[in-house]
Amino acid sequence: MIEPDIFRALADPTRREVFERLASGEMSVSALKARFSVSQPAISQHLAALKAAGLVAERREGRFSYYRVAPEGLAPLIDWVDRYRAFWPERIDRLKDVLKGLEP
Amino acid sequence: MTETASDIAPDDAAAASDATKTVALVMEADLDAAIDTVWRAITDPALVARWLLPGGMAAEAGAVFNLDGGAALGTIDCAVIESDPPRHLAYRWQKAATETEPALDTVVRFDLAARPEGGTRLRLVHEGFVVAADRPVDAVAPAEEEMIVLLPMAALMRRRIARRRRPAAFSHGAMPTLMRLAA
Repeated sequence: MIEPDIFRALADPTRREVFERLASGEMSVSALKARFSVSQPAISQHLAALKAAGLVAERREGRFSYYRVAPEGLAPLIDWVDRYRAFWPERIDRLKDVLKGLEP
Repeated sequence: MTETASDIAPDDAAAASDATKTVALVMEADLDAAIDTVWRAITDPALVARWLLPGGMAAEAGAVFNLDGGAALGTIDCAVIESDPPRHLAYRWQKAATETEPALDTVVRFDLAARPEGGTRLRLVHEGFVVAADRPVDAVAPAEEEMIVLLPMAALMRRRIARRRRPAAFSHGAMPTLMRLAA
């Protein structure tokens, strides 16, 4: 798995959210769709991108598709650095707000 | 775990250390408050809950506490390593591995310094992230006042981030926090 592909696949916030949903268990496309405000074709497109990056696996049952997180695609994906890189600046902004209330 | 033809086993510690490196997030920010006030904000549990995460906090070396990072970050186990009021606070920031997430074994350091022109400079270092050895990091731009950089640990020890007075157009503390991935 080439790491940049993973990051590209997860650069889109909706796609990342789709992935995080699937991390909690296998889901059908329609069940996934019900949890998002975007259209089903859009969800399908996100799923295709995640699948191409090796992050999710598809299982077909009749005319239904089920998606789950691909375990081998997972290791590089939960990227703590990326999470904390987004986390700290936002928290420091909040710290500044808290400090405003403490200073006379 | 699926069988692969790879000659590097994922749990082979020696192979893993060749394939990974440890990096840190570094951020500096000028805060519009006196150093003692900032110290209070980063050590008083009620204040910490308002800007960082809810949970405990005790600023004595050896103290252990948890922070509740919610769904995104999980429960973080913390243990104070160093506490030197009002200038320096360091604590372990750890999380056990789950089915979908690798363990997190990091340290968060706060360094505070009173600024001659008033206010406090905060240097925040979150170190100990293990990433792929070939993961790219950005160059440090010395002109930037506030930023997050991702640095190899070795570089962190020797590199000093150049500081420059911010342009007068920016009022004190008003500059947005910038993030940067650095080599």
